[in-house]
Order: sequence, then C-alpha cells, then structure tokens
Amino acid sequence: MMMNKNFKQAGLSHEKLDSIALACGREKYTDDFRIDEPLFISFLYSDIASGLIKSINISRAEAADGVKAVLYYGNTPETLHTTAGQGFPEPSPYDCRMFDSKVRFVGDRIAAVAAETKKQADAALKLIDVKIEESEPLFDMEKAMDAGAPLIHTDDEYPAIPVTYKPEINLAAEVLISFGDIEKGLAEADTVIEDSYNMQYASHCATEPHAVAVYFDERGRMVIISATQVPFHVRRIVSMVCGIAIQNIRVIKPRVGGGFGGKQEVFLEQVAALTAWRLRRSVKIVLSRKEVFINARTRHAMRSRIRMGVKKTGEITALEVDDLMNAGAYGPHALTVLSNAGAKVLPLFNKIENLSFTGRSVYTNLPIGGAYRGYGATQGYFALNQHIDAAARYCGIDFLDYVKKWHIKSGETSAVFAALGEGKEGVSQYIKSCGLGDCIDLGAEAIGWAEKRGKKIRSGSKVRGVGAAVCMQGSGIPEIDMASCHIKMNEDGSFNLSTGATDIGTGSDTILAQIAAEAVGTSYDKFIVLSSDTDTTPFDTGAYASSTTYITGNAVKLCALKIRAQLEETAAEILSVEKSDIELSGGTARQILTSKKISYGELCAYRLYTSGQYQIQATQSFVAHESPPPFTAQFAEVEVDLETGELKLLELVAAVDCGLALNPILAEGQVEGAVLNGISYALTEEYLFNSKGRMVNPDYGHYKIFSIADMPKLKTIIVDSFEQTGPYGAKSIGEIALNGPAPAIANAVFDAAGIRLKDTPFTPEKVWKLLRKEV
Amino acid sequence: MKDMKWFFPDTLTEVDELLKNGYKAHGGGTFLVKTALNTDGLFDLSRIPQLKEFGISGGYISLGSALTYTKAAAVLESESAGNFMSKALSSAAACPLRNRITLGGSIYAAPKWSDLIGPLLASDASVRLSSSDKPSAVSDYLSDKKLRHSGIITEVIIPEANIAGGYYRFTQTHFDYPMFTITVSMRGNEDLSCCITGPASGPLVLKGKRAELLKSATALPDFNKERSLSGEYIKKRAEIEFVRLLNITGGNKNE
Amino acid sequence: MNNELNFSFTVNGREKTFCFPPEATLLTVLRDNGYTEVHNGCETGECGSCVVILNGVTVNSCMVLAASAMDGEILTVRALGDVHNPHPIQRAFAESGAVQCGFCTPGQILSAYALLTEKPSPSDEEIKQALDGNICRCTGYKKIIEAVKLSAVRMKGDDDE
Ligand SMILES: Cc1cc2nc3c(=O)[nH]c(=O)nc-3n(C[C@H](O)[C@H](O)[C@H](O)COP(=O)(O)OP(=O)(O)OC[C@H]3O[C@@H](n4cnc5c(N)ncnc54)[C@H](O)[C@@H]3O)c2cc1C
Repeated sequence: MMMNKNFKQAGLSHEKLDSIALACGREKYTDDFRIDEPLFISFLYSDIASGLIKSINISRAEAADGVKAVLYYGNTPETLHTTAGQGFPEPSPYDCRMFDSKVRFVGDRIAAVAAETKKQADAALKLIDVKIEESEPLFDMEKAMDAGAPLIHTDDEYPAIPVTYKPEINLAAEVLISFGDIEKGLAEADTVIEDSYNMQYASHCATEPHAVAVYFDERGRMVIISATQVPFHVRRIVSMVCGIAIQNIRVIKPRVGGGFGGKQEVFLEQVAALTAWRLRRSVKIVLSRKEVFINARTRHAMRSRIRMGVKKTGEITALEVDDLMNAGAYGPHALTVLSNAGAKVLPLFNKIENLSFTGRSVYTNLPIGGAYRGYGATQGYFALNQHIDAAARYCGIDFLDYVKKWHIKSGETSAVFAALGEGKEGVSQYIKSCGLGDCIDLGAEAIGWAEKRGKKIRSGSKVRGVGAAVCMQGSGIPEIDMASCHIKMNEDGSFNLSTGATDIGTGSDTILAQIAAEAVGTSYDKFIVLSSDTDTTPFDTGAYASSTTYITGNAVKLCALKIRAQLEETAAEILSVEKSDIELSGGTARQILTSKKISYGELCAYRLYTSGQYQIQATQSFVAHESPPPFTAQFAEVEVDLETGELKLLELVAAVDCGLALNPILAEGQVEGAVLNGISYALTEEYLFNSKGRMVNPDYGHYKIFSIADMPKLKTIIVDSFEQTGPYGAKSIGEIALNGPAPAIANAVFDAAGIRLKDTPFTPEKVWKLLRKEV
Repeated sequence: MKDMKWFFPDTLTEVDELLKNGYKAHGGGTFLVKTALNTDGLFDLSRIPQLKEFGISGGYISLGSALTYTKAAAVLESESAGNFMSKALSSAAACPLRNRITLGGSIYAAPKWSDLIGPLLASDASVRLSSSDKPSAVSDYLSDKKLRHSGIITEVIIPEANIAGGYYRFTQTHFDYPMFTITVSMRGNEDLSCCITGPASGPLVLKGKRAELLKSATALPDFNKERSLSGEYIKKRAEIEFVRLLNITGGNKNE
Repeated sequence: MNNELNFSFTVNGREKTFCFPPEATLLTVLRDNGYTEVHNGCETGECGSCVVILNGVTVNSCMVLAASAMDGEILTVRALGDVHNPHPIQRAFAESGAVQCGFCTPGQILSAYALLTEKPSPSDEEIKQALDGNICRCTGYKKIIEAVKLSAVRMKGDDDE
C-alpha cells in the first residue's frame, strides 16, 4: 500500500506534556486541591454478605461531634441506576441505588457520614445502630442459576436497553450467538478438544486511590473534581441520581493517578455531590487502599469452557465457547465485558463456520465487577490461546505456523463483528490493517523460538519452555462512542486545543497535540491542551474501550484540518494568490513560487485585527463506523522447577501492531505497563475470600502485585503498520497487551513441563499439584 | 486515644527513668505505627549515640539496637562479604522500610515474617539489655516475658564465626512477608546450625552434622495455610528448600 | 485539638514549625501543610508513593510517626528541581517515558536520588534494590530503569564539568 508517512509530528517520541510537572511534584491530583473547609465522608460497610436491614438508627451518629449528615437508604434518592460510566442509555442494568435496605456483599455500603474531620466521620460510623437479618449468601457462580439459589436482586431492577436480564435467576446478562451447526462440525472433526479455564477476581491497583472533591464556585454552581475516566458520564449520572440539573454541575478531571477501568465507575461522586448540595458545603471523599480493593470495582472472574472440533489438517470444524462470568453483587459492565469476551476474541480465527458463543453473567454476593483493561478479551484469550496451542499440537503443527495460517488478515472479515456489539448487534467491518504476521515473526526471533520451542532445556530440577499467545482488541466502540474537540488560534501561532478526552496518565493530551500539530503544520508544543472539564471542553465519552487515540484522534485531526483550511485561506488572501499556491508547514505559510513566507502568528493577527476579522477556530465531532483491531503476539520463556512447582518467567516479548505508533515511547509504555499487569495477574494477584465472603487480603502486602525487583526481562516490539482509517495511521494500544501474558506463560509451561495451567494465578502449589499428577 | 507524650532521651540513664514511668521505646516505628498506639508515651531511641554504634572485638560483632536493617546489613557485609545475615537484612521488606526498621524493634516485635529472627537464632546471637550487663541469648529473650519487659535491647551480639552460610526466604513476590525463612549457619567441618521460621509452632532451631540434618529436613513441623497456599504445600516446600540449602551451603567446598 | 505537638523540621531546606497530634504520621503532617507532592497510595508502607528523604535516606512517610522526625531534614521531590529548572533525574524520567500517571513518580525519583547520591553508577540489580519499595502500575518499570541509568550518566557528566 502506498502511504505518505512523511509525518513531521505523528510518529515522534515527544515528551509527555505533563511529565516534567509531574516529575517535579507540581501537578495536582484530586486530593491535592485546597478546598475551603470540606466535610469528609466515611462509609459504613456491611460485614454480612447477604441480608436485609431490619432497623437502622442514625440518631446517635447524627448527634456526634462534628457530624453534619448521615446518609442511608431512608434519606437518599431511590433512583435506580448503574455506576458504569458508559454511553447513555447504558448497556449495564439499573440495579443499584445510592443506598439500599439490602446488603449484597461484605463491603456493600450501608450509610455514609459527613463530618468536619475524617476522624469524626470514622468515629460516628460506630454509632450507627444497624440490625441486619442475614440470609443465605451465594458465592459460587456455577450455582447462581440453580433452582432455589439465593436471589441477589428481587426488586424493580431493570435493564436500560432491551436486553436479556433475568434477576429472578440471578442472570445479569446473557449473550448468545451462533453460526452454522456445532454438532455437525464436531462430528466432522478428527478430534474434539474440550476444557475449562478460570480467571480470578483482580484489582486495578491504580496507585492513586479513588477520590472526589466537591465545592461551590462564586456563583453557587457545584464543581466536582474527580479522579475519573469519564467526566461527562459523571455529570450525567450525578444529575440523574441526585436530581440536580446538569446546568448546575461542573466536573473537572485533574491529573489522575491511573485508572485501568477502575475509574470508569461513578460511585463516589453522587454521594459527595448530594451531601454538598444539601448542606451547601464542600465535601471530600478519598478512599483508603482497603476500600479500593473491596468497594471499588474489580476484574470479573470468568470461567470459559471450550469445545473445539479439529481436523488433522488444522481446520477447526466447530468452536463452542461457553463463558460464565461473575458479575458480583451488582452488574456494571456485566453485559459488555461478557460480550467482549466473544466480540474481541472470536474474530481472530475467522474461518470457523460452525461457531457458537454462550455467555452468561451472574450475580453473586461478592465484590462488584467492572471495567478492567482488556475488558473480557483478557479472559477470552486466556482460554482460546491454550486451546489453539492444544489444537496445533494435535495436528503436529508449530503454534506460530498454525496461527499464521488461520488468523484474520487484511481484507477479511468475521461474521462476529456484525453479530456482537455493546448490548446490541455489532458493526460489520473488514480488516484494513493486520500486522499480526510481523508480530509473530519478529517476536519469535526475539525470544529465540526456533532454538527453544520444544527443547525442554533442563538444569537440575528446572526445565525451560517457550510459549506464545496472539490477541486483538478494538479501537473504540463504533457508532456509539463520540468525541469532539475545539481548536482556536492565538496571534503568536499557538493554539488552544480543548477536548473532552480524559488523560489518566496515558499521554492522550500529548498525542492529541501531535495529531493536531501534524494536521495544522506546526510543532506539537504550540498546542496548549485543555482536557476533561465539562464547562470548558466539548463532550467525550471518556477514556475507555481503547478509544481515545482512534476516536478523539480522528476528531482532532478533522478539526485541525479545518484550521489548516482557514490558515490557507488567510495566507492566500494576504498574498493575493490562490489557496493552491500556498504551502503550510513548520508554522509558516509559504507561497510556493516566490517562497514568500508569513508566520502562522501573523496570519492569526491579520484575522484578529486587520481584515475580514474572525477567530481562527474550529470544532469537530467524530463517531467511528468501525473499530480497527490492534494485534499482538506475545512470547514467554519460563523455567519450571519440577520439584517445587516454582514458576519463573524469564522473559516476555510483546510485539504489537497498533497501526502507526503516534508516539513510540508512549506506545511502548502502554505495552510494558499492560504486560507487567498481565504477568502479575497470571502469577500472583488474587482475591482471597473467607467462608463468609469477606476479602481477606485487601492490601498490597497480601494482594501481590509486581515490583521492580520482580520484573522479568521485557521486550517490546512495535511493528510497522498503518491503519488508513486512523488518525495518521493509528489504532489503539491501551488495553491489548494485557491479554497476552497469562496464555503465553501457560503455553510456555506446557512446552516445558507438559501441564496445562487452566486457572490463574499460577501459584507454585497449583503447578506442583499438576506436576505430581503428571508423574 | 490517650494523650501520648514523646521523649527524646540521649542517654540510657534517661531511658531507665522513662521505662520506670511505663513509657515505650520507639525504634523505627514501623510496627508501632500499625499496631495500636495506646500508650502514655513513646521515647525515641534514634538520638542515643550508644545505640547506633557497632564494632567487632573478641570474635563478636556488636550492633547497636537502633541501627536500621540497611545500616546493619552494610556493617555486616563489610565485615564478612556474602554472609547470610546481611543477605537476609537486605532482602527484607523494601528499601524505604529497611532504612527505618531497627534491630531492637524487630527483635522485640519478632513478627512471624521476620527476616532477622531466623539468622539470629541460627547464629546463636545474644542481646544486651539496658537492665543487665550480661547478654541474654536471643532465644531466651524471645521466650522469657520477664526478660523482655526488664529493659530495652541496647546491643545485638553476633559471634563472628557463625554468620557464614546460607539464607532462603519464601515469598510470592520480592517485596513480601516471607512465609518461611531458612538459615544455615556453618560451624566448621560438617557442623551446622539452622533455623526455620514459619512453622505454626514457632521458629525451629536444628543443630548437627549435615548428614543428620538432611534426614530431619524432611520431617519439619506443620505450617499454617497462608493466602492461597496450603500448609501442606508450604511445609513440603520448606523441606525441599531446606535440603537444597543444606546441600549448597558450604557443600564439599573447602574454604 | 488537645495535646498537639509543636515540632520543627527542615523541609526542603526551610525550617518550619508544625503542629500535629502525637500519633500523626509524617505523611499526614506533610500533606496537611501543603506538601501534596507526597502522595498517599496505601498508608501501609507497601506502595512507596509517599516516599520522602529523611536525614539522607528514603522512608515511607506513612510509616514514620511525625514526632520521631523532630529536628529532622526532609526532602520532597520539590527540593530537587522545578519545572523551570528540573533536576537531571526529573529530566531523565520525563524524557525516558518513565512518567505515566505520575502518582508514584515523586517516590521513584527520590529513591533514585538517594541511590545515585550513594552509588553514582549503579548496576541494574542495585537500581532494583533501591527502588523495590516503589510500586508503579503504569510503566512496567522498564522505562524507570532506563531513566535511572540516563540520570546516572547525566549526573556524572555534570560532576566532570
Ligand atoms: C510493609 C512492611 C513490610 C515489612 N516486611 C518485613 C520483612 O519482609 N522482613 C522483616 O524482617 N521485617 C519486615 N517488616 C518489619 C517488621 O514488620 C516490624 O515492623 C519491624 O521489625 C519493627 O521494627 P521497628 O524498629 O520499626 O520497631 P518499632 O515499631 O519502633 O517497635 C516495635 C516494638 O518494639 C519495641 N522496641 C523498639 N525498640 C526496642 C528496643 N531497642 N528494645 C526493646 N524493645 C524495642 C517497641 O516498643 C514496640 O513495641 C515490615 C514492615 C512493614 C511496615
């Protein structure tokens, strides 16, 4: 394909716009803002997994020192809503109230106390007298739909869009698609491979705990500063739940200390806003790490059962996927994470005629699931990649050769794209860029596949192996996500770029400036970026679904091209030539024939002061009609201690096709962060519950995430690629890399030791037990 | 919360007074800050020069009780490169904690996950208390309540000859509380002194010839379940690691 | 508040008196007094977002009872440099892509600073040892190691001049 990659700004590793200020400790996160005499809110949480509040007496707490308000179900709006920060109407069920008379998991919110100091608020919690009638809890998701199972939601919960929702059997969401005839396909196969895989609960562990601060501006409007990925959804949900007009709410997202999906939830803002609104006082909520573990959102645990019919030739004659997902006590993202476990996974092997996907998301009395980087694809690819490894082995074909033969390629499509969307049908699309083949080749070379695969290199009790996994994701939600931006020009040739896009540490402010600069023909540091303020920036759905680069990026590109047209027109007018005689680049307009130059600043000044005056400015919205997938091939080399079960990851290579990497260093950073998260999810992270459903390890000391000292050798390869529908060739990169480590490691362990690790995390005990079965 | 007072003594005489009044010592504070601060007063040991001294004489390494893990590890490492004590101290917790955790506070608190207790027990270390001139064996200090309350630890005394050997800590990640630790202290020839921390019944000290220990290594007492690991696995793992450490420590190499 | 203490510390070169309850941690005292560059990530000593340098060594300020730091010298990341005149480590972190969300960054940089002050040319192992208490969820640490190495080179260059 011929493409002009002669870019001046896109594709350069510019320094992130906020990084020096962050490194100098100058930037502010939500809790860093000085707010006039805020009230501090503490929550009373249930220590019972399932029950009905029989009585609650708040009078002692209300009378306590410093207490200004006690909120509970008796004095707060009963509006049913979802805390999922998604497009409206949300595909997640409306199954939650600010406070409820039922408790549904250990950690469910019973009440909130607002007091002059955090200490007073904490102390008053102990003065709330609550009597809960316990009922039998439901912890095992496999039993959730059994007859007679305890029911989690029995009131008037409802779906906001027409989808299957049956709380009467604990069914929070269901996704069913099928093509062809599974039984016929299985009958045609030479073998049927069948297995079940399990992935566990996990916490995002964004280093900044969730926080919100609310105050009133000079004119009495309510300002919400929030550590959020979705400021516009925050405004809408707060308005809806609290009955406060949108007009009276301003949401500002300052610097955010990581999100990874965890801050796509709106569950603190409504409580802070309601309290502030009622008392006309500033309010702050800052969660402790323990609260983040238990009460914020988690990665959905999922069981994936696969039946696959395979011919000796490698052809998959049937693929039947049956996923059961644990929504936890409420259903934010219960439908969409589930559907993405199919939608982002099944199209990768697009030549399977007999295909069925059955997904069910069920309620249990456990912590609440939510959006988490990877969003179902992580769980789906864990299962599928091991199955493909098994299929390739059955056929006697190298895994990589197998994948290369059967994966989706440019110019191809998958019926799944059209069948599976976000709570409705999806959007049909043809792949325009697929660099998976390159990812496989370059990654294989880097890990030393040819020399190491199947060699079982032994040293004492330790044996080595290599394994790989391949994945795709999407770039935003087509026909749903909308982003917009505004650019205006200043008379020194600088620009103000304002977008609703939400930079939570990803660097989106920076790459959007690069896109704008590329389009306008100037350097990226001429852009003063303002993002995520519902008063001053235009709408954006927010930072999720790997959307910002592709969707906001396209909006910014189109907007900046409009500015470019205005610059051209202005230059042509000043020089009295045709627009086609003007070349714009490097911040100057040049008359091509005479080489006469005018700086951008002069063009702007001319339009502001001299003739035909107008502000050089433009706005643009963008909705995508497709969601071009990025691709990755990841390779793990492991060493398994056959005596102890200790599993050591020696190296992980991630090769990624994200289209043109607009900023390679930032793109690598997205990959490396996601990969390390994926590694520690595969090896050590887990929620441990006692028999009462209480999470017993809600701290970093016992929920183990990797530190710098645990790092294996990491290598990132960004392959050469170009997506014609993307802004300057870009696709997404934010999520995809998290999906590869677990299956790549599992496949490597099989290569080394012949055991299949089907349940994450791969603790040494699990490995040890499987090894002993082998012997 | 009581109105807690703070004191900053610079001599041990002052400490004696403070102890009489029922106040508590503050070493690095890393344990105190997490446990209830329900006390009338704390006195900080970091300003008593004597408690930060270290030296070696008559075959004994002496370390002031207010030395941090970081400092103690550096001192030990410079005395005897590669010894198990400095290895243990420099792999404990994480750097900003090692910079803060003191020897005295760690011996008093002696948490199950301690990286210090095993090496001290294996090396037959003793502590000197402010209440007595005669050092007490660390094992006695840990088991004798009266002794523990008689005064603060001023000094840790480690026989120099006993810190050669090996150390293993079992964790899930590097920055983690060990579920067990194994120390093997070499005492010339095939004589070894070992300590395994982590068993439900408390630290276990085993002494003897390598060959004998290799036998008892496969019959350790029970361990409790930790996180998602069963007691059975942890015990099995401790036994395997113990055998391995016994085999690699000193080995047949002549030093 | 009853029984508040009035203690002074030197923070970033300036001696100041702080008023706080006897059980307060250094983290809360610093944050309450406007040093919000010291971040609160877990309050259990397990993430390193609150790392400051106290009397020459890094500590988790959430694990330090403020009173025990009386008369101490405290450095936060702001002591090293400012946006107009950043420290070579701050520059190196920004340039290397070692700063993503930035929440752990002040702690990482102070750990790197303490390390490089003591060991101007650290090995990878020594870097890992010195930064092992600073959790980062964004970068995967690779670029942090690169940043520390780049800092070492730059700082040695500065010394040579
Ligand atoms: C997150 C975290 C992880 C950790 N991980 C590890 C690890 O992996 N390995 C490890 O070994 N340790 C680890 N620790 C340290 C351990 O848990 C204790 O906190 C530490 O050993 C206590 O030492 P300190 O000097 O801080 O004691 P302090 O908190 O100051 O005091 C503890 C107790 O000892 C008393 N005391 C203090 N000094 C003396 C003295 N000289 N004589 C008598 N009594 C005294 C105090 O009155 C108090 O009762 C970790 C700590 C934390 C916070």
